[in-house]
This record gives sequence, structure tokens and C-alpha cells, in this order.
Amino acid sequence: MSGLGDGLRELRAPGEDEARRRAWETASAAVPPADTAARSRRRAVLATAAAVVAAAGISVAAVSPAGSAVTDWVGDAVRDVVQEDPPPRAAELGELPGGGRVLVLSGAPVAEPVPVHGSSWIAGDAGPERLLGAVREATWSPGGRFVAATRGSELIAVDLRGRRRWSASADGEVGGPRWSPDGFRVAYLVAGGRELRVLAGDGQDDRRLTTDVHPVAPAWRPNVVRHTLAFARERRVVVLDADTGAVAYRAPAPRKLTGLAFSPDGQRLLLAGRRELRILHARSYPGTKVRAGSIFARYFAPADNRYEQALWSRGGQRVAVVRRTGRRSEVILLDGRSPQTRPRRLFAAGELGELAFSPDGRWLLVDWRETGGWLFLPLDGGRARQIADVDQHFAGDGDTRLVGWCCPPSG
Amino acid sequence: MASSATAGGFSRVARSRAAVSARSERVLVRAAQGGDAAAVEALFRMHWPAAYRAAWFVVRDAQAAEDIAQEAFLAALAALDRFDRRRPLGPWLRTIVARRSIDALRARALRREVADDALAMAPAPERDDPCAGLDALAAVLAGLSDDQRTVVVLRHVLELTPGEIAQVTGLPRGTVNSRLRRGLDALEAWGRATREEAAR
Repeated sequence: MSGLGDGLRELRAPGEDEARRRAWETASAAVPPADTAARSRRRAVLATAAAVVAAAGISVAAVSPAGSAVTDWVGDAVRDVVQEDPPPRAAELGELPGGGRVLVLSGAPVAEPVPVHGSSWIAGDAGPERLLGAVREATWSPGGRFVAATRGSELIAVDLRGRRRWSASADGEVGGPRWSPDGFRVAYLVAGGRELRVLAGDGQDDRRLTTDVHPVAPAWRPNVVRHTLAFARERRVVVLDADTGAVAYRAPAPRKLTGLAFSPDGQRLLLAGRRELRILHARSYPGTKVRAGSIFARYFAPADNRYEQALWSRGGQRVAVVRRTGRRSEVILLDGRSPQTRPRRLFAAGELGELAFSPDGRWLLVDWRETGGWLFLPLDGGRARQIADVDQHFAGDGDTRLVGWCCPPSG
Repeated sequence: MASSATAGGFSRVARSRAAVSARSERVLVRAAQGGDAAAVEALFRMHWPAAYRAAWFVVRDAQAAEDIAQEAFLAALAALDRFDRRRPLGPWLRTIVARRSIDALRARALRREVADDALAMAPAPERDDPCAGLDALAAVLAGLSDDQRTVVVLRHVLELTPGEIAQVTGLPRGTVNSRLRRGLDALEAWGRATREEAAR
């Protein structure tokens, strides 16, 4: 029977190698310095130490709990990654690089009776399929089996055939719907933030969570036991347990906040503002001074620049950003785990829209509004791909807006 | 009272860390206390894998396991400068892992009750089966009841003694031994069935 004992001791757990790598990155940063003064100190410095990388006028600053050196990020000397030649290869909506399905809103906005965008569509291996009309916002469920959309004061969940599964009505216009990672909760805003509400994944138990929130879609934290939700109040982000209402922490937020997003591993929280991207620690590290809500990194847009999109990659290693200067936009990749790493510029053009990572994490979809097409940028080398004239695929409604790119549904 | 020898002829557990003497760990701890990064890495390689594996097999959640193992190791690093080198680091760290894994498991069990009552008609959660892709023994272990799986993991992955398990879990020593026996019986029954199948 010693064989069973040996077998148990030698068992490997799923994801062990990646987890070990991440754990060592964190642990190695916490090694106390090898000097007498350091040995006498009891605190440990965790996460990345304060660093300023100055190269050709570029600075990216990481903030540590022990102190910070925050500088502007000029961005003029980031490395180009995607070459303009050869030109992108054509792709088809029915055969997306990286697979999966994209969710789009298509149709010119209608002002009456309440502003609606148009129709929600999905496009994947079966080609474009219309789901629901007269909606303003839409979002994927975590596994890509449902879509939640807003229509005036109504929140509607449909399956991939457009069949209504449930709906909820509110006392005001509904916005910012977000499904929890386990599928058991949906959070949404009412009347531009007058209320933040939560209901169950089947549309039941609709209740108000809090009031007077900033009109930015809330964000659920992945990979935690509790239903942990982040939302914004004026100049602050609040993270709480959506089931009990217990507040975990509050932290200052950048001005003109436009988005909140936890990293896929739940370790960090991205606060996206027009002029600043701020990444917070989403958890505390016992035995150190790192607390949930403390700053991990800050990125400042240079003068006359603003951030328009910011999105975690599938694995949380990177953050894709659209930064705009006048009529010119750039797609830039930040290292979401190592702020000292120089950003990479993937693409530059005129007007750019939304971003989405492929389900396999190998492609970045850029809504190239200037041309009316979609550009698929390979993140591991290779040739870019392009779908021209996207609008004509969605009944020619025009003004197609990318919402999200999800996995193929299971079953 | 049952000793650490369990039913079914499972002989005394051989500590996997016998090869790493207590003396060598003391050397590493002393070096790590002096800021030797290589020593810290050696301690990490020595202790982190079992911490992560134990946490994973108790809570069956990769992120929770990663948090638990990381917190335990970081707590060890934070306490290095005051750690008494006459005591071994491993058991102290493993006890932290055990306590936090059990706490996480209990918290998840509570959440499932609430979720089931309130969301009977909810769409099925769209999360991958955490046991997908495990090898056969790991899958059988992961399929044991929480009670049995926890004590089996604490005993044979973290190598805590039954007395230490009783202390960490708050259970009577006899309960620990009986759960351990039932868990190992289930694993041994699976092993016999597998061998019989292979012999056909």
C-alpha cells in the first residue's frame, strides 16, 4: 500500500506549472535585501518595487506599497510590432481567427422613445445571426450561452437563437449589465447610476444593491468564493460582497472614469480613466503592507492624449489600450504583471473603436472605424487579418459596434 | 486508539522530505534570513508544490489554491527574520496551508447552500469542471467527500500527523482516523478495481 502513499504524494494539481511561475514572481519580489539594516526591518516589500524606466524619453512607473515614483508616459518610442507590410489577409465572419463568436450591436441610434442602438447580433461559424432588436447595450454570459441586453427600462436575457429567457423591468433606463463569472448573478445600473441592482442568473430576486453610483458598468471579480463586485462612486471605486453588501475596500479612482475590469485571475483591478489607467491590487498579502485597493501601477496619457479603450488579455498578462491624439489612434499593449516592461505598440491608424481578445488569447480584434472594417492582430507573430466593410454583414444597418468576443458555447 | 498506521495495511507514512534533512533546511533558512535569494528559491521549490497541491485537492479551485499557497509562503518570508531556526519551517508552513484550505472549503460549502436555495432555476453555471484533465488517481481523490478528502490530503500530501490534523480541523482524533480510513479504503478499492481490470 505504500504505492498509494507515493502516488498521493506525487499527485500534481491542475495549473500547477503556471501557478508556480506566478507564485515565484511574487515571492522573489518579497526577498528582503541582503544587508544588516534590511534584516532588522520586519516588513516585506511585495509586488513590483518602484521603478522608473527611462529610455528615449519613455517612462513607465510602477507603484509599490513602500513608495512610488510616478511619471508621465510619453509613448513616443514604444516598439512597433506590427509591420505595415505585408497587408492583412482577408478573413470571414464565419471563420474568425481564434474561433468563438463575436457579439455586436448594429444599427443607427434611434432617439425615440428612449435611445436605442439597434439590433444585437452574434457572428461565428454559422455566420451572422440577429438576436434581438431595439437594444442599447448587450453583454455575453460567462460561457457564451446567453446574452443580456438593455432596452429602455428592461433588461432582457436571450439565448443564442434569440429566444427570450427572462426579463426584468426597472424604474428607469437600464444600463451596464454584467454577468458574474459563475453565471449566478447579473448586475446592472438604473437611470444612469441612480441605482445599482443585482439579480440572479435566472432573472429572479432582483434587488437594489446601492444608490448614487457613477455611470460606469460594474465589474465582477473572477476566481473568488464570494460574489465580489466593483462599482464607482465619484472619484472612488468600491468593492463589496454583492450578496451581503459588506464592503471589502474603497480606493481613489482616476478622473473621468470610463471602465472597471478585474484581471481574469482576480488579482488586480483596472480603473480606466480618460487620462490615466490605474491598476490596483485586488487582494491583500498577509505579512506585507500590500492591501487590497493599493496601487499596483499607474499609466498617464501624455498631454493631448486620451485613453478610449482598455481591456485585459485572456490570461491577464497584458492590457490592450486604445490611445487617441486628435485624429490618430494607437493600439498599445501594456504588461499587466510587470509595469517596468516597456509597452508595445501594435497598430496605429485614424479612428479606432472597440477591442476584443480572441477566446484563445492569440488575436486582438480592433474595430477599425476609419475603414469600416475589423482588423485581427496576431499577438504571437504572423500576419494580420482583416474583414472589410463589416456593416454590410449585419443587414446593412450601419454603425456596427463590437461588444465582445466569446468562446463557442458548450453543449 | 488508532495510530498513524491505517486500515488496509497502509504502512507508516514515509515522509517525502526525509531526503531533505532538517539540517539542510536550517542552512537554507539561515541563508534566506541573510537575503540569499537562491536559498529563498530553494525553500520555495521545497515547500510550495505540496502547499499548492494540498490546497487544490482540498478546495478544488485553482485560484483559491494559488492564493492559499502564495499567502502561506509569503507569510513565511515575512516571518523569516524572526523565525527560530531550531524549529523546522516546513511543518509551520504546512499548518498555515491546512488551516486556510479548510477555511476556504467551509466558506465555499456555505455559499453553495445559499446559491442552491436561491437559484434553483438558474441557468447552469458555465464553469469548467475543476476535475477535468486530472489523472485517474487525482480524479478519484477529488471525488471523495469533503470530509474524507480533506484528511487524506492533509495526511498524505501535507504529511501532517493525525494529531496535527485534529488540531487544525478541530476534530477529535478518533474522527480524523475514521475519516482517513474511509477515504483511503475508497482509494484502495479503486486501486484494486483498476488492477483487476488491467489483469483481464
